[in-house]
Amino acid sequence: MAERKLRTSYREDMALFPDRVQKFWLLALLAVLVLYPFSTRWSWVPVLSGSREFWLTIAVTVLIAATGALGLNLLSGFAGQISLGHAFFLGVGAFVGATIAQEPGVATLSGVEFWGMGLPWWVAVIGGGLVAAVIGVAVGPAAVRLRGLYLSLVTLALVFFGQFIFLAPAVENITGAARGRSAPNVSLALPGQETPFFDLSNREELYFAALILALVSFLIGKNLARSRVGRAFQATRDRDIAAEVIGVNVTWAKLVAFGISSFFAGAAGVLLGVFLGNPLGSNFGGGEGLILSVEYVAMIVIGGIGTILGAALGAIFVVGLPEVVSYLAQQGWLPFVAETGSGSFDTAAFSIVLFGLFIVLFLVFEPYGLYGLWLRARNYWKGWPFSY
Amino acid sequence: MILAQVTQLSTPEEIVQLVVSGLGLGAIYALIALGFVIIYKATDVINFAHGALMLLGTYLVFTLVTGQFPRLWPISGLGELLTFPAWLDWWLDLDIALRFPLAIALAALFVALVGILIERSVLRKLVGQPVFAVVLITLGLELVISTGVQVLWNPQQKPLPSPFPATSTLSLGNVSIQWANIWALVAMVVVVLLFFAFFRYSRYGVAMRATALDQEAAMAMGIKASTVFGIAWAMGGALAAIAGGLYVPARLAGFISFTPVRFAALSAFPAAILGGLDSPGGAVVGGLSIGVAQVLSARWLNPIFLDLNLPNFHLVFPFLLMIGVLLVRPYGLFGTAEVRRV
Repeated sequence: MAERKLRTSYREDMALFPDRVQKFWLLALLAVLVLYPFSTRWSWVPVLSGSREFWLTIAVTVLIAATGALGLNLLSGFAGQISLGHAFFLGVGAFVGATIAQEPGVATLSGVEFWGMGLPWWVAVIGGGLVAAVIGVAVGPAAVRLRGLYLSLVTLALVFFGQFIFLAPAVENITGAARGRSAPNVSLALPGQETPFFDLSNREELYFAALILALVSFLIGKNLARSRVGRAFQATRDRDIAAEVIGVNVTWAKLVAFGISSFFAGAAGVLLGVFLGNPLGSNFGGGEGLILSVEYVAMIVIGGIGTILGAALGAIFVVGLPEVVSYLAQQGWLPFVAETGSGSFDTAAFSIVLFGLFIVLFLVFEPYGLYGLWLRARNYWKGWPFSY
Repeated sequence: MILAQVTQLSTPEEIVQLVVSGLGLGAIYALIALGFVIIYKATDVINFAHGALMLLGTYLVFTLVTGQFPRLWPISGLGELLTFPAWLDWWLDLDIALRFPLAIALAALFVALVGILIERSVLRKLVGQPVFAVVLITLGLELVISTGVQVLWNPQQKPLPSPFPATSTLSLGNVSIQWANIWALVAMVVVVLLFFAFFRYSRYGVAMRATALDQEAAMAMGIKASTVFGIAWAMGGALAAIAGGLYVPARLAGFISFTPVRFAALSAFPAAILGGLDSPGGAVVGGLSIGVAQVLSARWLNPIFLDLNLPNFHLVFPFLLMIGVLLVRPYGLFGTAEVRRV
């Protein structure tokens, strides 16, 4: 393995892609990600289990979750502000995005006409993100006043506000109140064209939208983390008074962290709404909302707190785990797990127990999460067969 | 506008009725909040698993009162309930007025042991780690314990007999008050007095206060911090179980169901915060005031918000109150401001 080059200048230290090896692998990864949906059409690509559409669905979920988890990791991992209200911002994105993307005056459900603006999907993603960011900054004053544990409790309140607002008939033209609303499919076609360059299914179009969003977000995230803003976040996280003393504007850093994190959550929420097709208010508030928030927390803890790559690894893990569990159950390897939907100990319940256990185990034994395991493995093989 | 509503809608009798009902709810909140506060004060951990402990306690009370316990083996039959073996029949023959409080006491004991187990096995390993990690651990434990309860006892709504069913009320003139609320209040006062007496007079209570004040100095004086941590978690567990046992008859009309109990502890967060996270007295005051505020807002503010098409306002009102108080006093009403150094 090529040894990493000694960095001799600040510019090299700050480079986005430090060396050629890394550039090569990133390009390879990009190629795989772009070609991935087409592999569902090529019969020579082997399929592990399930249908090819199933694998596309998993990939879409992972990409959306990774974007949302990146937002939470910037807020909690980098800026140290514990938030349990991430589901609320996802919900805001889902409903605002659907409102922006829907054709006006067409969608109705039980007599309720949903508002719509009929704008393209990327406007919806940015718009959903911006609205969530504005709300996030509005929560900011609480974050500036409160620290650590008190803040986590206030953000918990957001989940309950979500239940209150999303399900209220007052906003049923936006959220559809208790019955939820429809979220239109993403269309990648350029203006004036019927179809995009390739003939893509709805799921495939959503995949590419989620891929573009995830790539842009990770680029932004990586840039933030290595620049002045990211260093301000980390100083605030490590000791806010010391950060203030050395000239970091802590109030500003906290507000920016909330804004950026909510923006990514909102943008991911727009595509999550499209993925669900019929987002319900109860998906993002109350009990389900809390579990959704905890799932995102689990992603960053399991992936690696305070690392950009960790958000992606955690998303893969958290999205993949229930699927692995249900696969194992289908194969009959988990005799104690009942069939899905039977109300007793089904695969969903078992995966939630596993999330809880993994959060506990990772925090006790490997606080840097999967990213930490990856670093350990890499460092081991770097010197192999010598121990150093 | 609110005052107009009050005079228009409520007779003095109704106000008394609402306040007592609010105090009944507040008593349960106070017990939950006291559990948070004791654990936080002793160990600096916010216990998000408190709701799960309350859930465990509630279902243990159910098992002890009805004589139905979950099948532990073989695992595939989880969620099925078995009945007590014949040699325990004498227990089910006890009068419910005696059996119910005993069941709560036994459940409290058991959940206290679970609390000690959690502290020993998980949190002991995290002493000195950032608060973030510890908070997340308790969230993880919440998922594990509450899903475990859901699986063992199957989440369908079941009746939990109690000596004070929802229909039994105390009538004083035009005022009728549910006995369940009165007993919740009485039980809270007794439990809180016992706890405060423990802190004031007992050897371990003094040790706990000393450790909360200055852990290093206390350790230098020969107090075992690990014992203190264990006692705090045991107390938190016991309080959660007691609150759970009282919550079902007072608030769920005697029907035990999974989700409301699980989230009751989260609704009690505003109570703990309002009083200040490190003030046991504040927890009681906060609990009672949040309980009354919730019941009164359900009566008086809900109609106003319902006109605006915003139902269920009383569910978020305690949180609004909490945020309002926190913005003015960031450490709650009775909490001590933290001295921060570079």
